Amino acid sequence: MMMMIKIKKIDIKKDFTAEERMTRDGGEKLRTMILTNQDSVSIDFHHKPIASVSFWDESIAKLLLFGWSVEEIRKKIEFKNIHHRDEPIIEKLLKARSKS
Amino acid sequence: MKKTIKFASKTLSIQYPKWFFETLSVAHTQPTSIALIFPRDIKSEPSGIALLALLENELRVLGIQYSIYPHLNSIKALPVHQSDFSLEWFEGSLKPMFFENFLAKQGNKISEDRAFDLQLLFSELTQNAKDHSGSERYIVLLSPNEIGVFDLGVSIPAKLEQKYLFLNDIEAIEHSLKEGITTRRLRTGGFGLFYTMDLLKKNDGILFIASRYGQIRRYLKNKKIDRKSLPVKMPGTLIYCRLGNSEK
Repeated sequence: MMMMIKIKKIDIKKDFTAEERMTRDGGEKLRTMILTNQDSVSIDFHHKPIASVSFWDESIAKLLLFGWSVEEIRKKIEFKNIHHRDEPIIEKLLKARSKS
Repeated sequence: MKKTIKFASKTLSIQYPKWFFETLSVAHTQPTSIALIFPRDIKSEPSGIALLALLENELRVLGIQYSIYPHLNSIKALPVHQSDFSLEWFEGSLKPMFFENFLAKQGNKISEDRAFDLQLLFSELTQNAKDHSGSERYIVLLSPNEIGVFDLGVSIPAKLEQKYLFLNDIEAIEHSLKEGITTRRLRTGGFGLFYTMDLLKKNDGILFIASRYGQIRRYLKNKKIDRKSLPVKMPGTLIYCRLGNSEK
Protein backbone atom coordinates (compact mmCIF):
# COMPACT_ATOMS: atom_id res chain seq x y z
CA MET A 1 0.00 0.00 0.00
CA MET A 2 1.35 3.43 -0.93
CA MET A 3 1.84 5.98 1.83
CA MET A 4 0.46 9.45 1.08
CA ILE A 5 2.67 12.26 2.35
CA LYS A 6 0.75 15.43 3.07
CA ILE A 7 2.59 18.57 2.07
CA LYS A 8 1.19 21.81 3.38
CA LYS A 9 1.92 24.71 1.05
CA ILE A 10 2.44 28.15 2.51
CA ASP A 11 2.86 31.29 0.43
CA ILE A 12 4.70 33.89 2.44
CA LYS A 13 3.39 36.74 0.28
CA LYS A 14 -0.24 35.67 0.31
CA ASP A 15 -0.56 34.18 3.79
CA PHE A 16 1.34 36.85 5.70
CA THR A 17 1.08 40.63 5.84
CA ALA A 18 4.20 42.76 5.40
CA GLU A 19 4.25 43.47 9.13
CA GLU A 20 3.85 39.79 10.01
CA ARG A 21 6.86 38.94 7.83
CA MET A 22 9.11 40.97 10.11
CA THR A 23 7.77 40.23 13.59
CA ARG A 24 7.67 37.61 16.33
CA ASP A 25 3.89 37.58 15.95
CA GLY A 26 4.28 36.56 12.31
CA GLY A 27 6.91 34.01 13.25
CA GLU A 28 4.59 32.46 15.80
CA LYS A 29 1.85 32.29 13.16
CA LEU A 30 4.17 30.39 10.80
CA ARG A 31 5.32 28.05 13.57
CA THR A 32 1.71 27.26 14.42
CA MET A 33 1.00 26.51 10.76
CA ILE A 34 4.01 24.18 10.64
CA LEU A 35 3.00 22.39 13.81
CA THR A 36 -0.58 21.81 12.69
CA ASN A 37 -0.62 18.10 11.95
CA GLN A 38 1.15 18.03 8.62
CA ASP A 39 3.94 15.71 7.58
CA SER A 40 5.83 18.27 5.55
CA VAL A 41 5.62 21.95 4.78
CA SER A 42 6.71 23.85 1.71
CA ILE A 43 7.07 27.60 2.20
CA ASP A 44 7.50 29.77 -0.86
CA PHE A 45 9.43 32.98 -0.15
CA HIS A 46 9.48 34.23 -3.76
CA HIS A 47 13.12 35.33 -3.27
CA LYS A 48 11.79 38.14 -1.11
CA PRO A 49 14.05 38.92 1.84
CA ILE A 50 12.60 38.36 5.30
CA ALA A 51 15.63 39.92 7.02
CA SER A 52 14.18 39.53 10.49
CA VAL A 53 15.97 37.65 13.24
CA SER A 54 12.81 37.78 15.35
CA PHE A 55 10.67 36.18 12.63
CA TRP A 56 13.15 33.37 11.98
CA ASP A 57 13.75 32.69 15.65
CA GLU A 58 10.07 32.50 16.49
CA SER A 59 9.03 30.50 13.42
CA ILE A 60 11.85 28.02 12.81
CA ALA A 61 14.46 28.01 15.59
CA LYS A 62 11.81 27.68 18.28
CA LEU A 63 10.60 24.42 16.74
CA LEU A 64 13.47 22.98 18.77
CA LEU A 65 11.52 23.94 21.90
CA PHE A 66 8.61 21.90 20.57
CA GLY A 67 10.53 18.66 20.37
CA TRP A 68 11.79 18.98 16.80
CA SER A 69 15.43 18.27 15.98
CA VAL A 70 17.53 20.23 13.52
CA GLU A 71 17.44 17.20 11.19
CA GLU A 72 13.64 17.09 11.31
CA ILE A 73 13.46 20.79 10.50
CA ARG A 74 15.71 20.28 7.46
CA LYS A 75 13.77 17.18 6.39
CA LYS A 76 10.21 18.37 6.90
CA ILE A 77 10.42 21.99 5.79
CA GLU A 78 11.14 23.09 2.25
CA PHE A 79 12.35 26.70 2.11
CA LYS A 80 11.38 27.33 -1.47
CA ASN A 81 12.89 30.38 -3.18
CA ILE A 82 14.38 31.63 0.05
CA HIS A 83 16.60 34.71 -0.18
CA HIS A 84 20.26 33.66 0.03
CA ARG A 85 20.96 36.04 2.93
CA ASP A 86 18.18 34.57 5.06
CA GLU A 87 19.59 31.03 5.09
CA PRO A 88 22.66 31.77 7.27
CA ILE A 89 20.46 33.60 9.78
CA ILE A 90 18.33 30.47 10.23
CA GLU A 91 21.45 28.31 10.57
CA LYS A 92 22.93 30.60 13.23
CA LEU A 93 19.70 30.69 15.18
CA LEU A 94 19.37 26.90 15.09
CA LYS A 95 22.91 26.63 16.41
CA ALA A 96 22.22 29.17 19.16
CA ARG A 97 18.95 27.52 20.18
CA SER A 98 20.58 24.05 20.11
CA LYS A 99 23.09 25.27 22.71
CA SER A 100 20.48 26.61 25.11
CA MET B 1 11.80 81.47 33.68
CA LYS B 2 13.43 81.80 30.27
CA LYS B 3 16.67 80.00 29.44
CA THR B 4 19.06 80.68 26.59
CA ILE B 5 21.61 78.06 25.55
CA LYS B 6 24.40 78.80 23.12
CA PHE B 7 26.20 76.04 21.30
CA ALA B 8 29.56 76.21 19.58
CA SER B 9 29.10 72.98 17.62
CA LYS B 10 29.35 73.50 13.88
CA THR B 11 27.53 70.30 13.02
CA LEU B 12 24.18 69.13 14.22
CA SER B 13 24.75 65.39 14.49
CA ILE B 14 24.52 62.41 16.81
CA GLN B 15 28.31 62.25 16.50
CA TYR B 16 28.43 65.31 18.79
CA PRO B 17 25.29 64.98 20.91
CA LYS B 18 26.33 67.41 23.68
CA TRP B 19 23.79 70.00 22.48
CA PHE B 20 21.00 67.44 22.76
CA PHE B 21 21.83 66.30 26.31
CA GLU B 22 22.53 69.84 27.48
CA THR B 23 19.13 71.01 26.27
CA LEU B 24 17.43 68.03 27.93
CA SER B 25 19.25 68.86 31.15
CA VAL B 26 18.00 72.45 31.05
CA ALA B 27 14.50 71.29 30.07
CA HIS B 28 14.31 69.20 33.23
CA THR B 29 14.78 72.34 35.37
CA GLN B 30 11.33 73.26 34.00
CA PRO B 31 11.88 76.68 32.45
CA THR B 32 8.91 78.33 30.73
CA SER B 33 10.86 78.70 27.51
CA ILE B 34 14.20 77.79 25.97
CA ALA B 35 16.09 79.58 23.22
CA LEU B 36 18.66 77.43 21.43
CA ILE B 37 21.30 79.38 19.61
CA PHE B 38 23.55 77.59 17.15
CA PRO B 39 26.34 79.10 15.05
CA ARG B 40 24.98 80.93 11.99
CA ASP B 41 26.78 78.58 9.60
CA ILE B 42 25.73 75.35 11.31
CA LYS B 43 25.42 72.28 9.10
CA SER B 44 23.17 69.38 9.82
CA GLU B 45 23.44 65.65 9.33
CA PRO B 46 20.33 63.46 9.04
CA SER B 47 21.00 62.09 12.56
CA GLY B 48 21.07 65.66 13.89
CA ILE B 49 17.75 66.46 12.27
CA ALA B 50 16.24 63.31 13.80
CA LEU B 51 17.59 64.24 17.25
CA LEU B 52 16.22 67.74 16.87
CA ALA B 53 12.78 66.34 16.04
CA LEU B 54 12.96 64.16 19.17
CA LEU B 55 14.01 67.13 21.25
CA GLU B 56 11.17 69.27 19.90
CA ASN B 57 8.75 66.51 20.82
CA GLU B 58 10.12 66.26 24.36
CA LEU B 59 9.93 70.03 24.85
CA ARG B 60 6.32 70.00 23.68
CA VAL B 61 5.50 67.12 26.04
CA LEU B 62 7.06 69.06 28.93
CA GLY B 63 5.05 72.14 27.93
CA ILE B 64 8.15 74.25 27.29
CA GLN B 65 8.06 76.89 24.57
CA TYR B 66 11.20 76.94 22.47
CA SER B 67 12.86 78.87 19.73
CA ILE B 68 15.83 77.90 17.60
CA TYR B 69 18.33 80.18 15.84
CA PRO B 70 19.15 80.18 13.00
CA HIS B 71 15.67 79.39 11.78
CA LEU B 72 14.83 75.68 11.98
CA ASN B 73 14.01 75.45 8.29
CA SER B 74 17.44 76.67 7.31
CA ILE B 75 19.07 74.11 9.63
CA LYS B 76 16.97 71.31 8.24
CA ALA B 77 17.62 72.34 4.67
CA LEU B 78 21.36 71.91 4.94
CA PRO B 79 22.29 68.27 5.51
CA VAL B 80 26.04 67.85 5.26
CA HIS B 81 26.30 64.40 3.78
CA GLN B 82 23.18 63.73 1.81
CA SER B 83 19.62 64.72 1.28
CA ASP B 84 18.36 61.25 0.39
CA PHE B 85 17.24 60.19 3.82
CA SER B 86 13.82 59.34 5.23
CA LEU B 87 12.58 60.39 8.63
CA GLU B 88 9.25 59.53 10.19
CA TRP B 89 7.45 59.21 13.51
CA PHE B 90 6.12 55.75 14.23
CA GLU B 91 3.10 55.19 16.46
CA GLY B 92 2.11 51.63 17.32
CA SER B 93 2.57 49.72 14.09
CA LEU B 94 5.93 48.93 12.46
CA LYS B 95 5.25 50.52 9.07
CA PRO B 96 7.02 48.14 6.68
CA MET B 97 5.84 50.49 3.91
CA PHE B 98 8.19 53.14 5.26
CA PHE B 99 11.09 50.84 4.40
CA GLU B 100 9.58 49.86 1.03
CA ASN B 101 9.14 53.53 0.14
CA PHE B 102 12.69 54.29 1.20
CA LEU B 103 14.01 51.51 -1.05
CA ALA B 104 11.86 52.69 -3.96
CA LYS B 105 13.21 56.22 -3.49
CA GLN B 106 16.81 54.97 -3.51
CA GLY B 107 16.33 53.16 -6.80
CA ASN B 108 19.60 51.55 -7.82
CA LYS B 109 21.72 53.65 -5.52
CA ILE B 110 22.19 50.88 -2.96
CA SER B 111 23.21 47.29 -3.52
CA GLU B 112 20.99 44.29 -2.78
CA ASP B 113 23.25 43.38 0.15
CA ARG B 114 23.07 46.86 1.64
CA ALA B 115 19.29 46.83 1.26
CA PHE B 116 19.13 43.50 3.13
CA ASP B 117 21.36 44.83 5.92
CA LEU B 118 19.25 47.94 6.32
CA GLN B 119 16.04 45.90 6.30
CA LEU B 120 17.39 43.64 9.04
CA LEU B 121 18.44 46.60 11.18
CA PHE B 122 15.12 48.34 10.53
CA SER B 123 13.20 45.22 11.50
CA GLU B 124 15.07 44.56 14.75
CA LEU B 125 15.40 48.12 15.99
CA THR B 126 11.82 49.19 15.32
CA GLN B 127 10.52 46.02 16.96
CA ASN B 128 12.67 46.65 20.02
CA ALA B 129 11.34 50.20 20.28
CA LYS B 130 7.74 49.02 19.89
CA ASP B 131 7.93 45.98 22.17
CA HIS B 132 10.28 47.14 24.90
CA SER B 133 10.34 50.91 25.22
CA GLY B 134 6.71 51.36 26.18
CA SER B 135 6.90 54.65 24.31
CA GLU B 136 3.87 55.49 22.21
CA ARG B 137 5.96 57.26 19.61
CA TYR B 138 9.46 56.86 18.29
CA ILE B 139 11.32 58.36 15.40
CA VAL B 140 13.05 56.39 12.66
CA LEU B 141 15.81 57.66 10.39
CA LEU B 142 16.96 55.78 7.31
CA SER B 143 19.61 56.66 4.78
CA PRO B 144 21.75 54.50 2.48
CA ASN B 145 24.39 54.09 5.18
CA GLU B 146 22.65 54.70 8.47
CA ILE B 147 19.63 53.95 10.60
CA GLY B 148 18.53 55.55 13.83
CA VAL B 149 15.64 54.62 16.08
CA PHE B 150 15.08 57.08 18.91
CA ASP B 151 12.46 56.73 21.60
CA LEU B 152 11.57 58.43 24.86
CA GLY B 153 10.24 55.33 26.59
CA VAL B 154 11.61 52.94 29.21
CA SER B 155 15.40 52.85 28.90
CA ILE B 156 17.49 49.70 28.31
CA PRO B 157 18.94 49.73 31.87
CA ALA B 158 15.46 50.16 33.42
CA LYS B 159 14.12 47.28 31.34
CA LEU B 160 17.03 44.91 32.02
CA GLU B 161 17.05 45.69 35.75
CA GLN B 162 13.80 43.75 35.97
CA LYS B 163 15.85 40.60 35.47
CA TYR B 164 19.58 41.33 35.86
CA LEU B 165 21.87 43.19 38.26
CA PHE B 166 24.33 45.82 36.99
CA LEU B 167 26.92 48.10 38.50
CA ASN B 168 25.93 50.95 36.21
CA ASP B 169 23.95 51.83 33.07
CA ILE B 170 26.92 51.37 30.72
CA GLU B 171 27.26 47.78 31.90
CA ALA B 172 23.52 47.27 31.30
CA ILE B 173 23.74 48.60 27.73
CA GLU B 174 26.73 46.38 26.96
CA HIS B 175 24.91 43.39 28.42
CA SER B 176 21.96 44.00 26.07
CA LEU B 177 24.28 43.30 23.11
CA LYS B 178 25.07 39.75 24.20
CA GLU B 179 23.44 36.71 22.66
CA GLY B 180 20.19 35.52 24.26
CA ILE B 181 19.63 38.49 26.58
CA THR B 182 15.91 39.03 26.97
CA THR B 183 13.38 40.19 29.53
CA ARG B 184 10.51 38.30 27.92
CA ARG B 185 9.14 35.50 30.07
CA LEU B 186 7.05 33.66 27.52
CA ARG B 187 8.30 34.58 24.10
CA THR B 188 12.00 34.42 24.78
CA GLY B 189 14.37 35.94 22.26
CA GLY B 190 17.32 38.24 22.76
CA PHE B 191 19.04 37.73 19.43
CA GLY B 192 18.12 41.02 17.74
CA LEU B 193 20.77 43.34 19.14
CA PHE B 194 23.36 40.55 19.05
CA TYR B 195 22.80 40.08 15.31
CA THR B 196 22.77 43.84 14.84
CA MET B 197 26.30 43.86 16.27
CA ASP B 198 27.28 40.92 14.07
CA LEU B 199 26.06 42.71 10.98
CA LEU B 200 27.83 45.94 11.91
CA LYS B 201 31.08 43.99 12.40
CA LYS B 202 30.83 42.68 8.86
CA ASN B 203 30.21 46.21 7.57
CA ASP B 204 32.92 47.98 9.60
CA GLY B 205 30.09 49.91 11.14
CA ILE B 206 29.59 52.17 14.13
CA LEU B 207 27.04 51.58 16.86
CA PHE B 208 25.91 54.36 19.15
CA ILE B 209 23.57 53.74 22.08
CA ALA B 210 22.51 56.24 24.71
CA SER B 211 20.05 55.12 27.34
CA ARG B 212 19.30 56.60 30.78
CA TYR B 213 22.73 57.56 32.22
CA GLY B 214 24.90 55.50 29.88
CA GLN B 215 26.34 55.98 26.42
CA ILE B 216 28.50 53.67 24.35
CA ARG B 217 30.01 54.12 20.93
CA ARG B 218 31.54 51.08 19.29
CA TYR B 219 33.73 51.33 16.21
CA LEU B 220 33.57 47.80 14.86
CA LYS B 221 36.38 48.25 12.33
CA ASN B 222 39.13 48.94 14.85
CA LYS B 223 37.25 47.49 17.84
CA LYS B 224 37.43 50.80 19.68
CA ILE B 225 34.83 51.38 22.37
CA ASP B 226 33.98 54.72 23.98
CA ARG B 227 32.00 54.52 27.18
CA LYS B 228 30.55 57.57 28.82
CA SER B 229 28.28 58.35 31.74
CA LEU B 230 25.73 60.96 30.77
CA PRO B 231 25.40 64.06 32.94
CA VAL B 232 21.65 64.02 32.41
CA LYS B 233 19.10 61.27 32.40
CA MET B 234 18.25 60.31 28.85
CA PRO B 235 14.53 59.60 28.78
CA GLY B 236 14.41 56.51 26.59
CA THR B 237 16.96 55.16 24.16
CA LEU B 238 18.86 56.40 21.15
CA ILE B 239 20.19 53.65 18.90
CA TYR B 240 22.11 54.71 15.85
CA CYS B 241 24.00 52.48 13.39
CA ARG B 242 26.26 53.67 10.64
CA LEU B 243 27.39 51.16 8.05
CA GLY B 244 30.89 51.44 6.65
CA ASN B 245 31.55 51.92 2.99
CA SER B 246 33.00 48.47 2.46
CA GLU B 247 30.22 46.03 1.72
CA LYS B 248 31.47 42.53 2.47
